[in-house]
Amino acid sequence: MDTKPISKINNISLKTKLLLSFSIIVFSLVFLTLYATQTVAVKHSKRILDENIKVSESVITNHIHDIAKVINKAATNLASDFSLKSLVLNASQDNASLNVAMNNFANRFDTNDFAVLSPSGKVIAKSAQFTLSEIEHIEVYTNEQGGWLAMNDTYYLTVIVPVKNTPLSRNAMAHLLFSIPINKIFNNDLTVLSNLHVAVLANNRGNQQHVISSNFDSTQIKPMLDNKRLIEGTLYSSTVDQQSYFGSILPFAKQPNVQMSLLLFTEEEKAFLSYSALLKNIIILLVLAGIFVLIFALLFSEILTRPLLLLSDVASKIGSGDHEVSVPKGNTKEVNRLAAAISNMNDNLNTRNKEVHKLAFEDDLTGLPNRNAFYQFVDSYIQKNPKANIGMILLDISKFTGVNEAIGYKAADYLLEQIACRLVRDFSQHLLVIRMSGNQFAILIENDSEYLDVINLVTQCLHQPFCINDLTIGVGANIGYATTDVSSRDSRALAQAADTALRIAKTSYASHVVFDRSLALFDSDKLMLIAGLSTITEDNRLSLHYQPQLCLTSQQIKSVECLARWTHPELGFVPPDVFIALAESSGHIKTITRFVINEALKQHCEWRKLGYELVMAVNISTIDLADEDFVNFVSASLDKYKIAPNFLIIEVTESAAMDEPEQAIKSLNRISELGVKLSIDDFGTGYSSMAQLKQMPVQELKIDKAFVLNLAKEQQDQAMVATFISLAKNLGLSTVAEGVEDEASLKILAELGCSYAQGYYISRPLSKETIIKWFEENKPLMTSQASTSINDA
Amino acid sequence: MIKQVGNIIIFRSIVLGIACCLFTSFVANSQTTLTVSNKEGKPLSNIIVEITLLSLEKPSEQAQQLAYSSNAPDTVKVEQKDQQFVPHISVVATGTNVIFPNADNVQHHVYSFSPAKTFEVSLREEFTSAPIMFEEPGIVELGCNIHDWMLAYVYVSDAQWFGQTNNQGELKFDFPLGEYKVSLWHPRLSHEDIKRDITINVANTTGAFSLNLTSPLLPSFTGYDTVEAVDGY
Repeated sequence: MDTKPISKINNISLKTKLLLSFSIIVFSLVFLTLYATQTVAVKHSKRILDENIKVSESVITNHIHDIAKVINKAATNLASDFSLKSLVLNASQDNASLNVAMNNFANRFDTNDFAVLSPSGKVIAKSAQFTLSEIEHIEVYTNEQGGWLAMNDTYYLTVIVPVKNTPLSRNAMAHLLFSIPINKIFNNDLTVLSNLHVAVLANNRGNQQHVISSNFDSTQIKPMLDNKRLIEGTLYSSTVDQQSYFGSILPFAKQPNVQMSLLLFTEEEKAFLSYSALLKNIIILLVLAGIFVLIFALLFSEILTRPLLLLSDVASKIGSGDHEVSVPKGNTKEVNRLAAAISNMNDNLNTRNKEVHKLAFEDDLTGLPNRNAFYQFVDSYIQKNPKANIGMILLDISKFTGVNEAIGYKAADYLLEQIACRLVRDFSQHLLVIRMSGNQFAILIENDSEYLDVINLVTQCLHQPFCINDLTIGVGANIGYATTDVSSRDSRALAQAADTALRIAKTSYASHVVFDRSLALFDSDKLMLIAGLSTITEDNRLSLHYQPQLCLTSQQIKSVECLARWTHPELGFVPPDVFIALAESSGHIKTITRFVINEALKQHCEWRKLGYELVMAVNISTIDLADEDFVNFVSASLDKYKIAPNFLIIEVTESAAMDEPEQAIKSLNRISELGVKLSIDDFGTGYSSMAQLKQMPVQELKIDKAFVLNLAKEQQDQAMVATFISLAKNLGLSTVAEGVEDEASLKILAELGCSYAQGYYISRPLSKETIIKWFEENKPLMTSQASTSINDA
Repeated sequence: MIKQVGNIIIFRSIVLGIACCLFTSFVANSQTTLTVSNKEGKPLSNIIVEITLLSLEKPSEQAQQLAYSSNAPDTVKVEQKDQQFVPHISVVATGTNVIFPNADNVQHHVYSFSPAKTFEVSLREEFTSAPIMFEEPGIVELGCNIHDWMLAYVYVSDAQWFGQTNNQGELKFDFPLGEYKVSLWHPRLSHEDIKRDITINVANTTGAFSLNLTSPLLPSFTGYDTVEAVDGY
């Protein structure tokens, strides 16, 4: 089960994520707060400024009205004065008196200028510097608040009151006018009332506003007026000489004949003063808050992640096989859940591991450790105790297959269980008791001088009969013993060595065999040989050597035995019994046999050219006999080389007919029918069966060298050989004695009537080159080559 | 106080009216009643009416009709009573003497700056001033320097004939048959009504003329320039 590759985003640490998200939150909060505060603060400041302006405007307007009201009241009072009325009526005759009186009153009222007007508005009398000639809209100035009069670029706050005959008269006989110039009103007192800068603007020259009075530097104001965005009533800002101002223009003096506006403004810092201070405080607070939050985030992530990291370490440990870990507790519910889950998983794993272990390492039937357990145990033991020498007692219950058939599989299993129990009972104090395979058990011991005793104990132990289902069964066992010192410090090598020893024990019927190096064919060599076998016939490394056979009656060499010789590329000369046995077990024997036959027949032809007509004796294996095609091959080869069948002898061992006797007999018969002579090799050793001998269509018997080597010295051998020769004669078979090493033996053989002799005394097996020389040197033995006869007894 | 003044006016008008009737009985003229009403038709009292002859039907009767004007009294009183002028509005012929008896127990200082007559007279309590001749025709507005609320009008007329409507808004006169120009005056009359050219044709021996104002009356400033039927209390 592959884990999907983790995307980059999901692999960022919790600490980083927490930090990042907290940072983002804090910064967002900061900015939002700042923005909100700014917006609100600016709005608020503007509103306050707006209200301020309105209040200032109100204050100024009221102040002016108050001034006008006072003048109005005084003037009204004056207008009802009898003396004044007289003066006014007499103005045409006595202008001076009126002037003087009016002057007096003007000063009293604290006004600068005065005028007396006719009912239509024409000036009857006026103050000296007044350039007025006529008032067109008297009604503008007759209300309580007065009005503004523009004259010669000066603006006057003007009050007009009617002079009536009686207070209740309907019509005015004349009007009294009093004025104050604007600059006198917009003095410093007014500025104090309003905390804003004030300027009065007039625009009676089209749309161009200009300053008529101000408590501020009018050169600074003029640039503000150039700003086209001045809309009456709305708040605006303008910058003059790098100083920003906020202000508003308001209407002033609603009169048809005069356009005036009131400009109220202040420096930007004053307008938004409170906001700036607030902002600074907010920023400090937020920065502090931010720092605290970040520290908290770090701590928090630390607290969160530490148990997670611990748990992940634990999980790794569990994953790499350490089951003894203790799962740490977490500090939050969720982490605890995880810890509990991991702990459970660990327990389950442990349980499962044990089950798996059991399956892998325990033998199902007996409960003993199995072969896997053996390997593991030995390897780990050796690793832990490098100097230790482990002894493996490998025992094999003899003839177990037979036991199975005798008492049935179920009972046989029960028997095995019993054997296991007994072994455990008696030998569990040693290293290990193992069931290696079907009927093989092993006991591992610390090798010391007592090992033989233990082996004997095992034998004795198994010697006692077992009781199975009311049956008493005795079993036997073969034992192979090997130690790690001798074999190799490796479980498999140990097993192999013990196995080799066991096999030898079995074949040699010894109760036990102790392994030593000489017993083993090293595995690697064996493999190399087997590998070499596959190309054995191809690379000229397989050759035939020929051992001449002396016909004892004629003292002539009439035949040679062909023997295969193999030189392995790496291992060099390989003894035939080794490689033939290997070839038989690895299936290469057929190729070898055919090669040998082919070579032998070829060689016959070559010798024939030289004048030697020799019969070629070739060894074949039981496997060749089992092959149906073999006989065809022989026949075909004879045809190929145009050799009469009587020039070929085929040697088979006694046990040839053991495997697949029917097919073997069949093949033998066919070979015989071909006209080829059949010979039994190694007669007297191995498995021999007289009944089989009867069945096999052989013509010759070869007496094994075991009987011939010491023929001259051993009476017993002589007796046996004599018997063999007699037997053969009686069956009409010829005989060949192998292993003739001295003249005396040869003589005896001749006396006994043996047909042929073969051995070192005559000649060793020779290569085709060497044998030619031998033929030359032993001419007397080579004379009769012309005639041949199958039966030459 | 206003009620008192009103009563006085009523009384004086009736007296004048009877006087007119007495005089006209001796002349073979028509008994004409002129009624002045406001725009809505309500009769107005104290309206000064000036009548000038335009043309006689029978020129021979011209000499007699002038008799009336010479029968106008040559001394007229404008009394100060209860710190008010009584009468509030009066009409005199040019050349009439007007006296100002002070019936109050406080001082008054009667004056006028009207172009028709500019004068002033100080009157201690219960004192009558010497008569003052009003030679010029025009409106003389009288006030008291001490008491701002005191106001009176003396209409100095040089018309052939003048009168004041009574409480019913009527003015009776006996004129020879013919065409006459009528002018009205009252402080509350609008400028249009004062300048109006009104002509009546006295054709019958008994007739009634109704004159309606074309404009509404100007509002009353004082308590006592009410015109009876229109202003209630």
